[in-house]
Amino acid sequence: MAATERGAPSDDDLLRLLRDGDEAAFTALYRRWQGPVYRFALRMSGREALADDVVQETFLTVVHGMPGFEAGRGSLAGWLFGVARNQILRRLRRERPFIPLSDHGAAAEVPASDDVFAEVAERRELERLRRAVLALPEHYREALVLCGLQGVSYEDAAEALGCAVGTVRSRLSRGRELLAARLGATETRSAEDGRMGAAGGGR
Amino acid sequence: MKERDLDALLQSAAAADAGTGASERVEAALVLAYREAQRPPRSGTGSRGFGLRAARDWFWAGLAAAAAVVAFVAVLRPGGPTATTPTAGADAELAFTPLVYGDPWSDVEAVQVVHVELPRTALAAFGYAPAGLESEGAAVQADVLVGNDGIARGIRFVR
Repeated sequence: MAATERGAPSDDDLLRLLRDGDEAAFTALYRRWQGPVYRFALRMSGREALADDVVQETFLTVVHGMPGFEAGRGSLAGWLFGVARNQILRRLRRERPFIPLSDHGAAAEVPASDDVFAEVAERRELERLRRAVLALPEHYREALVLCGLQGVSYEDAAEALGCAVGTVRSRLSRGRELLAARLGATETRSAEDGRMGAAGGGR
Repeated sequence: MKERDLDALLQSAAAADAGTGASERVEAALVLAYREAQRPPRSGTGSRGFGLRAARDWFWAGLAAAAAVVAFVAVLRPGGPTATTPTAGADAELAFTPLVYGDPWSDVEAVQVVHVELPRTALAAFGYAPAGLESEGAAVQADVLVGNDGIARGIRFVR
């Protein structure tokens, strides 16, 4: 994820340049990291507007000098995800009384390929997975989204979540168990609904 | 669901998400913010990103907030509060009196202490009976805690 391309300046180089007022360096750093931060926020909340806001707030801290970040002591990824996480949790807690109606329009889109049924089935599976992820308890969800979905290293995730690497591993493992159980349960329910529908249709 | 199936599903989800990112307006807003932060302060020796102008904004916001709070309290308590005389010496190191209901620190990421001068009568509005009310015209010093949202959260009077 967000691996530095060969020949591209490192995060440290970009940070040095942007601190000296190089706008191109700021833009390059933003473009390198906004996607991972956005997807972390999106899969934690299920809301595109919230994810946009979190990206904006996170990179505003970069604009304002990155308080609390020490280049030698931690990775930029860990720091960015940590700032984003604080923003996400704060917003989720503030907006908890509201039930999201999912501003994701995936279900409404018309598949482009010829194999319409396969594509629809895949989309339904992904939507089911995303809903199951959103239903996980917060601390399992954040470990799963960072490491399981985004491929963030355990070390960076630990820095972002403010816990030990071992804790990240155990939360990820438990999160996967819960997710598998939830998906298994809904799979069984769908199969049963399908059988009942078929039986009802045969009468 | 089997481990292998879950891995495959997570990989599909990651691949489906791969191209997603924040909207273009976010980048545009951030680039503008970056330019603004890099602009050298017009005068004084303020640092980048938080220059003299920002400090001045904080000061005026704090002063306005403190004045508003004093006016609000004065209106609510026209007869004046029950006279409470602070314990001797306490007015030099008083705790902050909260100015909002509930947890004054919820949703606050940063606070600024703004030192202000208020009419001496403001003390009475906050429940203190200052010695020497005869010198009504004199000013008292106060520290106002202002959150980064511009709302005054607490006040304390200092000698």
